[in-house]
Amino acid sequence: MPKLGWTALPVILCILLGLAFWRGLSLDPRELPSVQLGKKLPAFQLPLLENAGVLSENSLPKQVILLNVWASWCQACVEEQALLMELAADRVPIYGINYKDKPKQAKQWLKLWGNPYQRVGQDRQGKLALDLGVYGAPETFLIDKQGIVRYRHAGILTKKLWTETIHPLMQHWEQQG
Amino acid sequence: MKYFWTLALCLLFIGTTHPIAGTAHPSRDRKGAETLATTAETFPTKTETQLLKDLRCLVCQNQDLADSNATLAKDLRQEVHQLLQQGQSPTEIKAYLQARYGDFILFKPPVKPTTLLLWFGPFLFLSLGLMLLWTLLRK
Repeated sequence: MPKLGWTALPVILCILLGLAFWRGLSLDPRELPSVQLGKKLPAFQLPLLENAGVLSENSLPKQVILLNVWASWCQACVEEQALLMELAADRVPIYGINYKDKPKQAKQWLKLWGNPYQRVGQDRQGKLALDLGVYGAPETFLIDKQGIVRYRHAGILTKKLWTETIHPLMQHWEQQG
Repeated sequence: MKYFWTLALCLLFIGTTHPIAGTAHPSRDRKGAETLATTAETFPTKTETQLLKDLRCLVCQNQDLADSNATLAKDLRQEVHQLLQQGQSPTEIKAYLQARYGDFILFKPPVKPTTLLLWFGPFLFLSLGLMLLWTLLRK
């Protein structure tokens, strides 16, 4: 009996190790945790895309909003635009950060794919994006009434993500203070 | 004694393996951003090169900032260059980037509660193995 125990040990160990590696293969290393969660939005002053004003952290309304980082050169952004348009029609406040783009191309892009944004700030140098830890487009941040970052998604927004995660989160933060 | 080598090999295997595994999923767009570089990239100094080698590119995650051709890496190289010019130390620059992009930007993860297993796991498994070996050989 003890002999069988020791024979089984390496096999058991190998199976456990195999399971650990199997799990590791299915993890997405691109899903990076954001350092910004629970922190206030960094200070910024971005010229508006549509007219002469500025978009700053203080000019955002005191409500729960989505901050969406996009660009006209970003092909993946097209894919989430239909959903954003749908959300905008449902009166979800979405603000745009136009990331390292040319105003003319950005405006054309909005004409082509629709404009779900309340306002769009131009981050031509990518300064705000750097402060937010953005490493690609699209990225979406959920900002609460106090201007604190509560959620970040790097990548395309999906219907599933909206109904299962983002919408409940928005409702949750809407009820707080 | 018959199973000694099998056991020893298995333990050695576990002891030397770190929990790092990854596949790339190019699910979004990271190329082709408008390049707004105001100055051409200049030859970096020794300190700068060393610093860039310690920083990971978040787009091509297995490349360092010095090597990567991704637009983000170019931007970050420029940022690092400017910060160095302003007289910031490599430690300060690392902290600056870490505050924005997280520990992930550092190739060498800091020792903290969540990384304890990563840093000391191998030694833990090695000592467990040695203890097992000790008890086995004594029989």
